[in-house]
Amino acid sequence: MNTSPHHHQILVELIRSKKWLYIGSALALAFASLFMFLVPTIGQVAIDFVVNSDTQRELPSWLDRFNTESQALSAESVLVAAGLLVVVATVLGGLFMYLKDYLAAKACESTIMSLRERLFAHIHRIEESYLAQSDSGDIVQRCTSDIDTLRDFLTIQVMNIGRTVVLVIVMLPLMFWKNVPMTVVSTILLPIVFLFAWKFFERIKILFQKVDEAESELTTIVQENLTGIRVVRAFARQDFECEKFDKGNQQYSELHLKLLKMLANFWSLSDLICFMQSGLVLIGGAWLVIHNQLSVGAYFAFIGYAGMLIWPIRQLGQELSEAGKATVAIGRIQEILNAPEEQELHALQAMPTLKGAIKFSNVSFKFDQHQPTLSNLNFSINAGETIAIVGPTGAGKSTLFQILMRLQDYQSGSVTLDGYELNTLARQQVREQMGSLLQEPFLFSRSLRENIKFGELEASDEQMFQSSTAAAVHHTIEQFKHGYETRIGERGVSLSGGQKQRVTLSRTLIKQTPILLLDDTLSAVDSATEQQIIGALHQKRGEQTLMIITHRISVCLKADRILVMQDGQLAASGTHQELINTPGFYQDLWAIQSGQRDNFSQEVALSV
Amino acid sequence: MTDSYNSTPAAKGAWKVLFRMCYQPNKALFHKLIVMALATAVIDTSFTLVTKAVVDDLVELGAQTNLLGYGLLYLVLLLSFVACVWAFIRLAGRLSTELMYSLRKQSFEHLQRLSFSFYDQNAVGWLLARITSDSSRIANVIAWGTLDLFWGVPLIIGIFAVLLVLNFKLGLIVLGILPLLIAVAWVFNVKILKSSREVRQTNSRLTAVYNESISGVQTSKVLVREEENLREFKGDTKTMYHQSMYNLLLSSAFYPFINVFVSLGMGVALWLGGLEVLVGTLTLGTLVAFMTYTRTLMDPMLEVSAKLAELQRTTACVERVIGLLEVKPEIEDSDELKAEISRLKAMGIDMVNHEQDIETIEFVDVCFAYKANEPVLKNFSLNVAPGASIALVGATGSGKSTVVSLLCRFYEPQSGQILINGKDYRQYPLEWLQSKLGIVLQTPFLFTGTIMSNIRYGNLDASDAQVIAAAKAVNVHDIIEQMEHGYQTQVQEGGNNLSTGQKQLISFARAIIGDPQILVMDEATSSVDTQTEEILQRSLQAVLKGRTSFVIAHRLSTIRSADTIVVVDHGEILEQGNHQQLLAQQGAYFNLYQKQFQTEQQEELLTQS
Repeated sequence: MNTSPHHHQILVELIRSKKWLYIGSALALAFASLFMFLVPTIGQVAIDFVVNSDTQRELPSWLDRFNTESQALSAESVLVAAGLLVVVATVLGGLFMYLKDYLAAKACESTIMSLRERLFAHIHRIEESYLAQSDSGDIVQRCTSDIDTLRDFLTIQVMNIGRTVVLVIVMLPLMFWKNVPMTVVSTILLPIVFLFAWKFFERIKILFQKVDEAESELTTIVQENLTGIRVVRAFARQDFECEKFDKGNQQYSELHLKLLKMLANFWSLSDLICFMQSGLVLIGGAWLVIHNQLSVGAYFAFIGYAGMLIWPIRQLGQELSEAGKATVAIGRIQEILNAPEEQELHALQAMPTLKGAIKFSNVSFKFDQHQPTLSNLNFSINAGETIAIVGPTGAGKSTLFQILMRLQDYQSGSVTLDGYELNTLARQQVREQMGSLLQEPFLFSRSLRENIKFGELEASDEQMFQSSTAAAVHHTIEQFKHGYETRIGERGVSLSGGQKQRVTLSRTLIKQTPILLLDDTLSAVDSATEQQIIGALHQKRGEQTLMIITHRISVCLKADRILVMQDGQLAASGTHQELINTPGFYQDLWAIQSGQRDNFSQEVALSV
Repeated sequence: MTDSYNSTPAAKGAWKVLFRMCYQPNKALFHKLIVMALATAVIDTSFTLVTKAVVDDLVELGAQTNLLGYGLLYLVLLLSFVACVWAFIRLAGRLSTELMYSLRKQSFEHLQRLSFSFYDQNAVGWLLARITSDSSRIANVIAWGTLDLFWGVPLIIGIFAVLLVLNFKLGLIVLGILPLLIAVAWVFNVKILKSSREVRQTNSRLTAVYNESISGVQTSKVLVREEENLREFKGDTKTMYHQSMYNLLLSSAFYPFINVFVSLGMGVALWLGGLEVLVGTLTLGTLVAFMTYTRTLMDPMLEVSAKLAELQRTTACVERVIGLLEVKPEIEDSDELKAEISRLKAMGIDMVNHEQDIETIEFVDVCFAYKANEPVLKNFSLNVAPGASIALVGATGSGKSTVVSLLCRFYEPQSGQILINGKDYRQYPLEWLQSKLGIVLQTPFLFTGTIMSNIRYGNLDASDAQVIAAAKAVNVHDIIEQMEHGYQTQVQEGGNNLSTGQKQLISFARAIIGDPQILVMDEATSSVDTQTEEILQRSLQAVLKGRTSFVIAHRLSTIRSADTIVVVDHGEILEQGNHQQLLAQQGAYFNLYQKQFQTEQQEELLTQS
């Protein structure tokens, strides 16, 4: 775990920005505690009034008070006032308590909300290379369950700990002020119960963890069994699986029971201490009353005070111990926030609307072994040209596109768009003018309409139909029961690979861009449809620079030029006619796709 | 949430069924728990009576009060109370553990008997939740609910009984606030539970949004959608903010609200009781007792109403779990067959582990559909000679995988028959058939544990040497040996620390270690790299020797060597014969072969380094 000084930086920062809410909440709490303190105190006054009333025996019952109206009335009015005051103090205490909760909840929830939004925005700016190396499940977990832990910490632990601390701070001095010996008697066991609870929960942490682990092990067993049910049945291993599950189930049960037994010890023992405290108040207070150091009313009040303090104090121990969990979560969240964002290394210049000329000179790029490298890449493309890029797996074709999209920054050499050096143009502006379709078609679980208009919110339906028609998917969509409103993804329709590719193509095409990059986008589309799509793209020939990574000769045939990439370098370039006459990768590819018959009949001849 | 994604009916009268299931085997525990809960309630009621007596004596006797006596009495009460608390937590703990254990066991074992058609209709996550969270929630509600009800209700009644005895009129007044308390507590509990559910739903929505945003971050960047994404997300967090605030404020209003009602009771007691004390019809101790009891009343009230609201909410869980347990397995041995098995078992003959070999397999006019009106196999007929190797080829969705699923009796023909040694395979024990099979699936699935234990899954009695022999037979031994921990390498959840190819080879070894009479390979090579493919290919010839095999594959090298190639199209057999015969026909197989030939050549070119 990261233990740098910036470890809790974000939390400190966020809490500081809400400090008035926290302070207001603490003040409200202090008032609430004051009113809570008042309730038994009012009881004290009333009881003392009743006990000290000399007229006790002479007063008639309250039903026939009319006979001695004046005296009864004064006695009654004191009691009525006391009764009313109890209610009023409770109501006011309740209101302040609510105010405190409102302010605290607002503080916590808005802290969490800002943190969520910050994480979300940050994720969209993290460097591509960082994301590529990290496990996305782990990032999601940090953004969700770690945030939940933090939220629990703020809304439960911090609030409860704060409440108990303020309560003690407000009540203890008042109690001491009223009666020192009685206060000592009423609070003497508080530190013990606190320490006991704290130590207990510290010690039992490991057991809690073991129970959690046993439970997740059990969950894993079930999950694996259900996911691998075909394997289980294929080997008729039902009995074996049941035994395995039973073992896990028993193990969990044993630990669970052990935990509950420990908890039984804790709750009963801590009850013992707490009730002992109440007993001390009862007997010690009575002793003080007998020795005239305490009035009967105050005696009653202290029974109330002791009850108000002891239970929160017991809980305090537990809360403190559980607060530890949050530090781990905060650290993990901070780590994500510390991940580097895409930086601009060069001064940016304003960017006009591009025509679409692209030039690579001596471009080299090396990242790590996961990413194919480029070395000394040179080529230039005129605005409006259609270029096919072919080459074996790992030749660096996709890397080339990533550099053009500014998802990766080239390390040496120069890339220019219409003569502007690429890394002096703002990323977002570059991406605005470059339509691109990456290898893996990714769609969001929304309607098709929302997906297609994902990058072009203002687009009209007319434009959407056009781009979908160009991507040869319009008719397919129209045939769905809900048409463009069809929801896709987990809880909706699942599309075939080819359909996905065409929908993502439509999404790209709806943005009218001077440059279009397609990365092996039509691999799952049959060749007739592919021809149709290429045909549609060709209508913009001359207006739009098109670079298309492909393995299909039929696509290359329609290109103005073909670039053959191998090992991060440009191996050859030229028209189809030129390349099929030069020995090399392209010629081989062409031979397989068109001149294969010789090979095949050879194979058939061998077999038959 | 995904109601549409499960076929399990919610059971009617589920609580009754569940209660019978839980109560019968745990009668003693239930009874002990109830006794303890009642005892606790009695002691709880007594504490305040001691306070009352002390106060009364203080007023009446002053210094003569027997403090030592009261101290001892209090101590005795306290110790028995603590003993009760200790006992009931242990009892309720044991009960909840027992119930959880047996609910989980029953659900899991039941799931092992259910058919594939059931699994097709129910998501793994959904079933998992039944066994994990639902079972534990039900067990907890029953155990702790029993405790709380049998402690809380008698305590409430006890307190009122004492109050009415002490002073009938004042008792009635305090009793008056009870319905108010119940109503307020109920309303709050229901609202809080509902709001908590909304918060959870929004929270899982947030998780889904994060999930999707991270997977689609590149798409968003490329389409310059970051700002809009954030704007949308802010809408979601805003919803979450309001819902959480509401939830928190509901909970925080609850207690003060209840408190006000309680203070009303206390205020009235103070006023009227105080007057009575003044005229001497009530002792001061009784007044103190009244005020204390009014406050004490709050705890059982809150507990009971919270438990009742929870009980109501758990109804859905109970219905789901009982519903699951009531699903009948579609494919199992017939009752007659079961009777026959046990009859023979009594005579010392084990039908299940019977050594009888599988000789011939015949598909006779087999029809099958996963969904009504969408037939997958139509009058499919095929004869398989002993030891023959069959390759099934055809387009996706042609029905070739269904052929092997039916053969394995994962599903049964809806009409027609599958005969083994001339007899309908439903007349053999299911376990007998499945123990004669070795299956390698398209996506290799390994369990967590060592590689050794994963291979051994195919034959639990296999020695280490046999495991190694099986690994050698499929040429994976060297690969495993090269790993740091060799056969003891731990397979992580989902097998993420192994490549797909490695996993496939291991599952191949697992399939043959049991020396199966029928080997089924369902697209076993389609998701692996060419290198693995080659390794598999090398072992295949030797492994298939002497077994009947069904292979579904695209790779020519795998198909070519089969004794019989069956071209399946739209659920029917289009062509059948060996490689040479089919090529000579120049039909569907010829075309398929030609296309695949080109694909493979191109792949070779593309992956050249």
